[in-house]
Amino acid sequence: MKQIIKLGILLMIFSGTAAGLLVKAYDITNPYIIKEREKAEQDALKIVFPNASLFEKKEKQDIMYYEAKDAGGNIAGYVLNIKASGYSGLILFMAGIDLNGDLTGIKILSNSETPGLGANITKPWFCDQFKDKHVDTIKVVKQKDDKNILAITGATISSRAITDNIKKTVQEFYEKGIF
Amino acid sequence: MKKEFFKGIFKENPSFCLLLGLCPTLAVTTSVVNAIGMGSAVLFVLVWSNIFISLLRNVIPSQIRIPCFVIVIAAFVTIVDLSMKAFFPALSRQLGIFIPLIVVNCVILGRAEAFACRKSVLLSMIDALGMGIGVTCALSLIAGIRELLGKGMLIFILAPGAFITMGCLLAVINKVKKLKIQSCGKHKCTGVCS
Repeated sequence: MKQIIKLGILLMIFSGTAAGLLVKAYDITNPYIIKEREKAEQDALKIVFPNASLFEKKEKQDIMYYEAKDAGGNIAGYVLNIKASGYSGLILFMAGIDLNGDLTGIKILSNSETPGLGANITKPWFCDQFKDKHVDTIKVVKQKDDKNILAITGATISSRAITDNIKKTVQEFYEKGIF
Repeated sequence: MKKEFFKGIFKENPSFCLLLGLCPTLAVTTSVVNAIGMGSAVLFVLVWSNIFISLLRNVIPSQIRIPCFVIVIAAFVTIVDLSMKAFFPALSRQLGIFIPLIVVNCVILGRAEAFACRKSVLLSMIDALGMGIGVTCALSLIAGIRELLGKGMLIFILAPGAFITMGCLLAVINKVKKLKIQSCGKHKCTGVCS
C-alpha cells in the first residue's frame, strides 16, 4: 500500500513537471502559430484574387465569404470557401470570382488525397488552369487544351471534385441572391 | 564511444536491422523532403528523451519506468509538434499525424528501455545521435528510391510501393550481411562483425 502511494506520487511529480514544461512551450509557440494561420489566410486570399487590395469577411444566411475590394474601395468580386469530397475525405479550398463570373484563382487549403497523385491538386500548374475561365464553362478533360481543365494523371476524381464543387457553390450563391 | 555512434547507422540500424518504427518509415517516405523532416524530428526527440531518461535513471523506480519514459517522450514530441507548426508550417502539414505519433515509435521507447536507462548520459546521447541519423538515412534512402521510381511507376508512390521497396532493400541488406559472415569465417573471425 505504502509502495503504491509512493509510486503514485512520483508519477504525479513527473507528469506535473512535464505539463509545466509544455505550458511554457505552448506559450512560446502559440503566437507564431496564430500569426502563421492568419498569414496563410491572407496569402491564400491574395493568390485567389491578385487584383484586390482589401478583403472583408462577410456572412450572409450562414455562409461565410470574403468581399474583394479594389484600391478605390469598390467591390471587385468575391472569394468563397468551398468544400468538396475528393477521393479520400474532404478537400477545403478557396476560389475567387469577379463580377463577370470569371474565376480569378483557386487555392487548396487542406486535403487528404493520395500523396503523389490526388495531392497534386495543390500544385500551381493545376490551380493556375482555373484562372480567367468563366465559371459556367469549366470542364475536366484528359487531353490538354487551352479551354478546359486538364485532369491530373491518375487523379481524375480529385480534379473533378474541385471543378464540380466550384460550379455548385457559385450556383448556390446565385440562388441565395448573395451576388 | 565510436562504436556506440556507428552501430545505430549500420550494424543496428533501427529501420533495416532492428526493424523498429516501421509505421512512419513506410507512411511518410513519399518524398525525400518528408523523409528528412521526419528523420530530424525523430532524431531530436530521441536525443532529448535519451538524455533525460539517462539523467533520471536512478530516480525512476523500475515498476513505473514505462509510464515515466512515455511522459518524457510525449513531452518532447509535443514540443517538436508545436515548434514545427510555428516555424515550419508547410512541413508540419505534409507530415500531419505522423509527428504526434512519434510518441508510440518503438525506436524511441526501445532505446530508452534498452540503452538510456542503464548507461551514462554521454553514451546515451551518442547512442541517440547514431540511431537518429540511422533512421534519417534509412528514411531518405527509401524515399529517394520511391520518389525516383514513382515518376514513372505510380505504384511506388502508393502504399504498396513502400512495402515493395522495403522488402527489396531488406533482401539486399541480408544478402550483404550473409556474404560478410561467410568471408569472416575464412579468416577465423570471432564473429564481432556479424
